[in-house]
Amino acid sequence: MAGADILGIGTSALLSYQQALQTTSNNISNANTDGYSRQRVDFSTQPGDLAGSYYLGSGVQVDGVQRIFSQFVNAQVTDATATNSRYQTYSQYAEQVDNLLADQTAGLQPALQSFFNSVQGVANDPSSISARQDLISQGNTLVGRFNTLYQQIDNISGRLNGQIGNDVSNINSLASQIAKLNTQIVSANNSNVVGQPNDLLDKRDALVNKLAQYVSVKTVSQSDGSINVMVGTGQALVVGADVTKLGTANLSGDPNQLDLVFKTQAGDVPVSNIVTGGSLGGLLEARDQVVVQAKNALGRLAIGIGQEFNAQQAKGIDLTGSQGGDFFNVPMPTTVQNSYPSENNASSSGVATYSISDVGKLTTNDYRLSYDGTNWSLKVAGSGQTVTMTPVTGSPGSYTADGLTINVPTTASAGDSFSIEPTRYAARDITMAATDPREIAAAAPVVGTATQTNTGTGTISDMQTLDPTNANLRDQVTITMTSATTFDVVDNTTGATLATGQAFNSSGTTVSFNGWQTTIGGNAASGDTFVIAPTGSGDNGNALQLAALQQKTFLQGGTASLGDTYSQLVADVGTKTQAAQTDAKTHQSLLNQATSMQQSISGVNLDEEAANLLKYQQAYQASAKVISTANSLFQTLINAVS
Amino acid sequence: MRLSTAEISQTSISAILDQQSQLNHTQQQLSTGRRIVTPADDPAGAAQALNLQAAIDTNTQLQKNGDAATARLNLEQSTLTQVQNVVQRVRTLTIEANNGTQTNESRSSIASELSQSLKSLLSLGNTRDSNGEYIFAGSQTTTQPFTQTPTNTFVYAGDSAQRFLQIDSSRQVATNDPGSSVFMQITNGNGTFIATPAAANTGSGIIDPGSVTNSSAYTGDTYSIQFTAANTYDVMDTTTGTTVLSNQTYQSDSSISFAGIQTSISGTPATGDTFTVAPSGRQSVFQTVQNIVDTLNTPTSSVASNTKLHNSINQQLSALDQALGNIINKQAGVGSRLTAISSQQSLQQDWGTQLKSAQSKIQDVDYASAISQYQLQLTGLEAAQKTYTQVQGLSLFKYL
Repeated sequence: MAGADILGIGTSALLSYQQALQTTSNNISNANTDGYSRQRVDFSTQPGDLAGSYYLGSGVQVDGVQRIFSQFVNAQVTDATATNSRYQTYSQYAEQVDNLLADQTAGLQPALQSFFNSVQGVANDPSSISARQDLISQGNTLVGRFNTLYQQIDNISGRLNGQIGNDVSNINSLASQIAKLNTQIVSANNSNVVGQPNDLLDKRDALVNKLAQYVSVKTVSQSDGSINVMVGTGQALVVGADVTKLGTANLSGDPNQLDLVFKTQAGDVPVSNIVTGGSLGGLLEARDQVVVQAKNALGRLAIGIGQEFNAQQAKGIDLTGSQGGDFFNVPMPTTVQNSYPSENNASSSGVATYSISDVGKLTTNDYRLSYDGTNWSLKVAGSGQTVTMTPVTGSPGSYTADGLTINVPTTASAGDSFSIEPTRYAARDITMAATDPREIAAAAPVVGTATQTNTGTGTISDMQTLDPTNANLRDQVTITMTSATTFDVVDNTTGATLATGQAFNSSGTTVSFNGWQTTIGGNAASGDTFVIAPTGSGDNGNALQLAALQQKTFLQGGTASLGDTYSQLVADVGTKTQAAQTDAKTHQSLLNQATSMQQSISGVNLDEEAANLLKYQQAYQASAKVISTANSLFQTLINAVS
Repeated sequence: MRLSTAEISQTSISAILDQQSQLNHTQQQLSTGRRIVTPADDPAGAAQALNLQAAIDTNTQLQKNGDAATARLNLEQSTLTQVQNVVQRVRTLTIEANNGTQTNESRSSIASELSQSLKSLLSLGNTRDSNGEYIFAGSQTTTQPFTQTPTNTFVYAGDSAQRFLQIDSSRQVATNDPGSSVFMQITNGNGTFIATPAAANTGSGIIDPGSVTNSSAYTGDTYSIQFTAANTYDVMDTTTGTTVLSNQTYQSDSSISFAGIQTSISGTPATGDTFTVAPSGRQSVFQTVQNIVDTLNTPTSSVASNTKLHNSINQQLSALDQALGNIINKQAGVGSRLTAISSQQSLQQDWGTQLKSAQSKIQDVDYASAISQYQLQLTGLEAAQKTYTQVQGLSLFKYL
């Protein structure tokens, strides 16, 4: 009896260690398999035999093969993967925009500088055709630089939109694979098996980690062994074996601005604002915070320089003697009819139109204009902040807000809304209007001078054009001092007396007639005259004003010049890029820590496995010896009996 | 802590890759000489460097403006110097012609030389710059400013505009003087009043241009000195019609003073001769020279016509002096503007150097620290590589 028991114990040990050696070999072979968790054989004693009044041990048995892993640490790795991937992607795109804008040769700043240097060149030599030609070609360069910068940023946003599409299809495919594994794991668990399907579980965990590279996910384990995967604020991507697919749709009406939707049975549900983390989250953030902002900021600059330069140009006289025409073609903004599916505008609603009425108040925001049936409201796209719309007195249906004049359609119905992107495409659409160097209005229309025969020391200065379209702008006008404190103004061209007995103040008197304005002052004597006369082709009065636009602070409510505004953009994108790079580094190291913790629990250590191999081999050899001992015990017994 | 074999390998590889990328960055810094290789290395610094570059470029452009202004003013200055020389020569010749030993013939030969001087003056007034622009035409730079009409009057076709150039962000400087102020609107007489003998005078009285001795007593009225006898004269204020002085005794070369005015008459005026003292008018320097030429070309045959000649030449000489004074004033003005530009430019040069050094501090690499960092990183990379091979060689399996 005893011999057979020993044989049984030896056999049970032999079989158990065989399985242990197999598991160790499996660990060794999967030492470099991604997502593999090392496995361990759990031994337990076989129930003892009752030998009279005590129990005798009856050998060893294998309870199961466990994978060594921590649910908690795994979830940490998944989170860290999503966050890291988000910042890596964000910084990668922000860096591209940053390198483009801040380049010392290819950015906007050098082109802007060369352009205004050429304006100075024209001011230095207003009748030189070559100086004017240089300004025209520098204008072309500037416009070209705007166009190219826009194009390059647009290429970035094209790649970005492409990657959004790729990510979405990767997410869908990973979700399907997870759902399939859910099915397999549930069926493996169902068939009265004690052990876990370790390799299927590893595989599913690896897929969840992979999914986290694309989007931030949360998993919830179910009692049947399946997991549910959620994105955003709890939108279910995978529930058991079912997958709700993500898709892209053009909700804002802007074809360059893809939105994310959940393709549910009930229709598309927009989720752009709630999907975060992963490369998809990083892409959406980079698009909204960097790419769109950069396009809008460039657009505002293009509109700013275009409108301001044209306005000053109109105040001057070109080489042919006519009022200056447009130098740039400033693009007209467009309204996009919103195609938001849940609030489709009626076809009879018409389109809201708007124009830029005050470039100084222009922001880089996009807006959404909506109608609730009685009132119109304007909100900043993205943040949703309400912008006050001031009705224009005397013209119903017109409102001003943030430098825009908006005309709402009279046929709108409740629920209609419109996307307004005032600055988005201006950098793309700005072109040169002037082609002929003679079109540059370098000369001021009139110049005022104190007559040399004056006996007093009165001065005339600061000539400005207020109304370039005034028909009498270039008339010759004489201001005659009728006493030391009064003066008359006569238009010599028409012979009309414009004013008599005007009060003169020696500290400076503003005189404004025929569309111009000037200041006279000083100690003028009775009988002194000041003559306002049309200028010739050698005058550079308006060119000096054009050159002064470089330093003029007319943007952002009169606080920033063109250069300031561009530097702000560069600094803004640069700061975002740097923050993203720092975040990317931080989260890379957090991911490394989490991975190393996960690996320290689940990873295979070959030295450990080597030791196990030796341990189990020795135990196996010992068990074999037990069998051989049992055999010799049996032989001894046989020999004794025979 | 327990480590997995794959992790050990991964960690070492990551360390090596990290070291490599840092080394590459330092190497790029050293090879480009720039601390900021891409703007994201230091966004604030990059934006600042960009602003400084704009300031440097603006500074350079302002210096160029200064150069352009200097070139224009230098041309005006040298033209004015030539004008001054010609006027000086005209003055010398005129004084020579005024000498009593001159004959009608010698005067007329002086007159023909003066005609040439007049032509030079006109052509100097019509000077063009390298772009073919008239420098004394105000803003009408394509129109010839000065022309002589068939009746020997002189017309200015320019305007009184000045071209200003920006030589500093807040400072403009005029780079021309309109021809009207240089050549045309010059006061005649002594600058305040002009003393003229009546055309019908028969005596040999020659009146001095005179001067204002008491400017508060000077009224600006027109006065007439009338000889009631060969040695007696009255002074009338013809503006108000009142008599200022009466029955004064005349003495050749002795001063005649009234209403803040002092002048004198030499020679022997005849009874009934009159001399007028009127406020100065305006006369172009061309007209002055033309008047001298006309006077010298008029032959003299009597005491009266001789007297007229000297009186006339005296008058034109005063006008020439006024013209000369005006040109010297303009030259001084141009000179002071040139000085202002030159001091502005040297300020700008200093400022430019400061801007460049500020920019360099922000964007240029500090070689000493970059090289030591490079050495450090190189050592680090080598150490990482060496330990990697050693750690990878460790395995229990080796001993099985």
